[in-house]
Order: sequence, then C-alpha cells, then structure tokens
Amino acid sequence: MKISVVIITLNEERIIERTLKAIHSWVDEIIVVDSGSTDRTLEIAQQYKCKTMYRKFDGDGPQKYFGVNQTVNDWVFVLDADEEVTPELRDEIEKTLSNPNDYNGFYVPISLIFLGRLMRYGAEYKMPHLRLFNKKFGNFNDKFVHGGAVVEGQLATFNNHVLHYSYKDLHDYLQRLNYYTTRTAQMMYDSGKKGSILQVLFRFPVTFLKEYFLRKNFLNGYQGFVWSILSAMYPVIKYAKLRELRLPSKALLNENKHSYHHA
Amino acid sequence: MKISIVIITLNSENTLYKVLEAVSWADEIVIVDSGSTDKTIEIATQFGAKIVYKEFEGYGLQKRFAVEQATNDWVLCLDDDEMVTSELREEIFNIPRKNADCHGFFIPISLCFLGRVLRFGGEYKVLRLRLFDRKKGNWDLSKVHEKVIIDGTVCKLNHQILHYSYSSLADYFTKFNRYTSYAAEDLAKAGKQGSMFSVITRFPITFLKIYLLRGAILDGYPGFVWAILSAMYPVVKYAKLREMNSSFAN
Repeated sequence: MKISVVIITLNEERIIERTLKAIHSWVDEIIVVDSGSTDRTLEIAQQYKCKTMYRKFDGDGPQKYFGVNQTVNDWVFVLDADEEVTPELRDEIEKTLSNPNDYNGFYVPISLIFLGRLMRYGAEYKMPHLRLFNKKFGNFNDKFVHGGAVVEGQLATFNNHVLHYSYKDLHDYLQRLNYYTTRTAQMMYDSGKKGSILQVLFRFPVTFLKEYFLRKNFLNGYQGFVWSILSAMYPVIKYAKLRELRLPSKALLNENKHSYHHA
Repeated sequence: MKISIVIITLNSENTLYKVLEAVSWADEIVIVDSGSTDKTIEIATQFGAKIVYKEFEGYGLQKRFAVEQATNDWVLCLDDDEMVTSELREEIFNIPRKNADCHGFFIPISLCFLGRVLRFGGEYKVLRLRLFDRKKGNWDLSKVHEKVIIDGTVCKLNHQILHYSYSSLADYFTKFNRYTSYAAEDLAKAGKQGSMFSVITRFPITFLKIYLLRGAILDGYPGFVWAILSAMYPVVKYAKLREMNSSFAN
C-alpha cells in the first residue's frame, strides 16, 4: 500500500528535519500544510521533497482534515512536526500495510521526550493516538479544534512508537502551561465553575504524589521529578486563575485609589 | 530639590496609567521603552513624559541608561507597576529640610498580590534604594536582580510604594518564565552548575520558609498561592540552569 504523510507546521525549523529524515525515504508522499512560517520550515520541507501548501490556521482539526484531503494515497499517516518515527515502527507499518486485512486504521503509540529523556514510565509513554488510517473510512473532524480522527470499521494498535519531542525547553513548557491554564480557567468560568480554595491547596500535593509515585515518574530520574512538580503546578495555576476571574474586575488596581487620590 | 521619575517600560498599559497618575507631581517623567506594541507610549504621552527608545539588553543596563536621560540629578526609579502613595509623596516633599546629607534613600516597597497587600512572606516593606542623586551612583549592570550602588550616605524613608506586580496570574507567569530564564543565564555566566539536589530540595525548603517561617500563612489564600509560586521559582531557575549546562533540551 502506498502511504502519504500529512504534517501541519508553523515555524518548525528547530525540529522538523529530524521528523522528515525519519520518513522521507520510505513514504510515498509528504504533504506539509503551513500556516505562515517565517523561519526555514518550508525550505527544509522542500529539501525533503515535500509538497507544501499554505492554509490559514483555524484549529488543529480543520488543518489536519484539509491536509488529509490533499493526499493522493488512501492510506494517510498524520504526524506532528515534532514527532519522530522510530525505525521499529517504520518496519511495523511497512509490514502491516503490505496486507492491512480488514483494518481501516491504526492507533500509533506516542512517547514523550522531556528534557532530552524518553519518559519510559508514567502516562506519557506509548499513548495511543489514531493517526494512520484509510481516508475512505474517516478523517479528522473539521468542526472541532481539538479531538482526534474518527474512522469507521476495525482498528488496531501498533506496538512500536513515535518519539514526541514536545517542548523545546522549560521556557517553552512554561509558556504553554501559562497559555493553556488561562484558556481552561476561562472555559471553566464560562461554564459556571467556581474553584474552591481547597482545590488550589490540595491539588498540588495530590497531583505530585500521583505523578511521581503512582505513575512511577520517580523511575524517570531527574526529568521525572521536574515533570511531576510541573504537572502538580498545572491544576494549582488553573484553579487560582479561575478564582482570579471572580475577583471584582481590576479590584487589585482600584483598591488603593483613595490612598493617593485625595491630596 | 527637583526630581525626575525614571521608568523603563515594555507593554505596560495595564498598570502604567495608575503609576503615572501617582507621580504626576514630579518635575519630570522619563520613560525608556524597549518597543511596546500596546498603549504604553500613548499613556506616557498623556502625562507629558520624555520618551526614549532603547533596545532591551538587560535590566541593569536599561535602568542605568534611563537614569542618564533625566534632566535632574535626583531620580526616583520606579517599575512600571509601582505606585507611590500620597504619604510617600509628602515625605519626599519634605526631604530637603530633613535630610540634607543623604545621597540616596531606601524606600519600603510592599507587594499587592491577588488584590491583597502581602504583610508576610517577605514582600512587605522591603527596602530598596530607589531615590538617589545620580552624581553619587547608578544601577549596576546585572541582567536581573539589578541594584543601585551609591558612593555616599544612604538614608531611609518611612512611607511606601505599592507594588502591583502582577496584573493577573497569567502576567505573573509570563514574568516568572522570563525572570527564571534570565536568572539561569546569570548563574551560568557565573560558572554555576546547578545540582539535581538543589532542584529537588529547593521546593519544600522555600515553601516552608515563606509559608510558615515568614508567615505567608497569615495572608490567607493569596499568601498560599504566593508561597507555592515562590517555591517554584528556584526549582525552575535551577532546572533551566541544568538545561543550559547539558543536553536536557529537546
């Protein structure tokens, strides 16, 4: 079976070469849907003979849906720009697709590389995502900004994985943490959630213990510790931001008005 | 004595209006901006400030440059989120008679966080040298945690500046991220390595120090959030330092 890869991109020069190197020699087509990179992303993509096209970004789902529809082959593998296919997975894909039987799609295990380390333990190891499918039976959803592909029929899961070089560095991690907690807090606020002080207080130790011990991040060494403590910060910040939204608007700036206004 | 207020800005529209309103009595306001894309310049113009552009290359350097742009020798350096109280203003007005021999003044600065002045946790009435005679000194060149160094007598004022450091938690985190990166760079330049031990132990130690020892527990909910975020600071700083010193980056 011939296979097309779809990658959506925006300023990926840091990472995309590793991704393309791992696939360009054995896949039949690579479609890069770019939403306006100002770095060397497209130049690198062209070096690897990708078919590049521009589309304004309006969400993960719609962008990938569009990409899938641009492919010439029925079998489509949707990758993120920071995901490297391992040689083992490549062999497995080639073998499986040479005779896909009745399967219409495959879950691909994706594993996080955090601060340079493969996180072998914890929830970020071999998380299955439906990424490789026959587009006659499904696609990403162009309505939902998030959410994966939906494919009809029989599905299976590969054994071997993709390596996900998710965060460039801690600065990048914290930037995203800040962005997502603000967005989630706003969504919770809009749906009428309040967020108690207890949640802010207890989520930290509870999440840390869950990540570090229950999910065995302590086996991931130093990176496991950093991962656990940052994960524990996530709900604290989210709930603190939710509570912040309930503060009388800009109370913090107006509260002391009188102290320097009446001269 | 004539005083110039000196402020460095970058996208400061959230707080700048209130800051400038509180010092509209000054003889001159100098704003050194490093490329704001919001209403910062518009607000500064409204208050008749002298506005100078300079590319940002570190806090120490930026503030030193800003002090040099002032017309008066006596400068009061404020951050873009620090409000002078009316009591402090009165105290400054009375300086020439009271403290003729001083070349600089420490001013107590208190943090307002999540709508509350934090009385404990180490951010209440922290003394900072902010009002000084620039003939006697200026800012040092640290990239972050810069200080004024004065060759002369330094006195102390009693009334405070209110530091509305964070217009929101999102703003807090943007700064947290930026400052920990700068601090890690400074540590790396000083040849520090950052052990795994410091990353791991700094969190509980700092949390207990701020929450219990310094008493942030008495500041209620804002005190707790403050303590836990402060405890993350060294963790992230040292983790970033380790990241710079090795191949921990992706």
